[in-house]
Amino acid sequence: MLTSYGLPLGYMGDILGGGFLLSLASFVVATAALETGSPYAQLGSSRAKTFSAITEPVVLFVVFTVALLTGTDLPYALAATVRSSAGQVIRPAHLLAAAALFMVILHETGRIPVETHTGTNEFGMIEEARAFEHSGPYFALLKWGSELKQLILFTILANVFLAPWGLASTQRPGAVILAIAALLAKACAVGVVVAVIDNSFAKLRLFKITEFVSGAFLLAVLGVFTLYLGGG
Amino acid sequence: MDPVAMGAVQAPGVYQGVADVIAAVMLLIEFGMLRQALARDQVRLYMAQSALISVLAIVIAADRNLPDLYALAALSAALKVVAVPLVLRRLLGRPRGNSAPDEEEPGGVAGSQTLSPASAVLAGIVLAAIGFFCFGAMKIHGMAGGPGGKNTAPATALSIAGAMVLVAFGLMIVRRDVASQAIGFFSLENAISLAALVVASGLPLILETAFLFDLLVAVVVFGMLIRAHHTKAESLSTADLTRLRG
Repeated sequence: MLTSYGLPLGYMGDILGGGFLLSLASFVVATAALETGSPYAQLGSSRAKTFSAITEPVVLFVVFTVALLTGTDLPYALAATVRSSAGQVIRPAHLLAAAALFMVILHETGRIPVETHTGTNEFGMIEEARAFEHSGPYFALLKWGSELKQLILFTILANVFLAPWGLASTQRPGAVILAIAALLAKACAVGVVVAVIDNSFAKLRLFKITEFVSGAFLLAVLGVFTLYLGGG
Repeated sequence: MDPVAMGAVQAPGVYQGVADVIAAVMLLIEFGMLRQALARDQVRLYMAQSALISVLAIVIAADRNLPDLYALAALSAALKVVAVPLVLRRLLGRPRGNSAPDEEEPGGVAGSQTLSPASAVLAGIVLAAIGFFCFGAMKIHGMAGGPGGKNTAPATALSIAGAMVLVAFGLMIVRRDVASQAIGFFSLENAISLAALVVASGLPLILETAFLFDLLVAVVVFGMLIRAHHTKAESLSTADLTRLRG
């Protein structure tokens, strides 16, 4: 999803494959947190797994929407579809799926839950607790990993759903450098929106997260309905 | 690579997409009413929904060259975005008997949900699925009347209108307070005018206006009901009425 020309083996990495990779990394981090034996780390990883399980249906329905729109579940196929006409951008299924994915990203990057992303209050500690017992280079690696995950999710949102324009169309260095700059600019734009949302809404109580996710689920399901039952 | 060759679904045109998106946002607002706990915010959501249907009327009017619809859009904006919410706010603010209507939420609205918000949304999704399925199965592709004569009514928007009708019914069923039931009824009228707009946009102006005045009658009746119920039962909740069963 970084280029608009086909990459070798690109057909092998569908959305589910990318999801598996991210979940595998998250599973490894949770296992490492359990291994430390600290109660906070275990609490954080247990919460993280619980809430990622309830966002799973939303992601699945977003994948269904992509599959109904393109006939595949390859992210770059959806980007090509979106680029092909203005009608594809404005159809409700696409917009609903993009909004649902955005809400999932807000949740996955820890922007909506109870405390702030880096909060260490145990009432709302989710992401932060998992790296609690790590220090030094390992802690830096974990931090780096979570930032990388955020960039990957932002890239999926921007380059597949919202603005799949300005990707490198050839392998010439000029085009690639331009595409890198465009990608960073798009990720910054998404980041600004996320930061505004993060700072302008009250944090939710831990058990209100299900309501937030049910909102995202509603968007994703309606996206599938408009395509599959409504014929749009 | 050509996305269509890869099996992509052909997109409807831009006009149809805009109409469908407006309808979808109206359905989302309907779901928002289902979750919303404060009557004041429900009135706000109703205003937003009514504003959207006026915008949709303008879009359809511009696309199909139906100048009548501009008048209808202005009229429905004046009625549903300004007048009805104003009346509703006065009605909801007054029953407490205090002079400043906006200071206090009327009782009985916040705790009137019979289902938790998440379950209410899930029930709403099921209702919406039924609505989508039924209206999609009817295969109505309304012949757009009018001189502009592009014969493609947005079938998706019609299905969404069907889903909205059922979700509005759901809102009236799962809430126990008179205010939410009234707003559910008014948004039901929004859903029906959405269906009328997308299928029969060439409807004579007089008929569409008659629908709007129908709404006014409903506002008056509901207003009287809210007042009467409140003076008798000293709350807006209809839970007390179940005791009256024989």
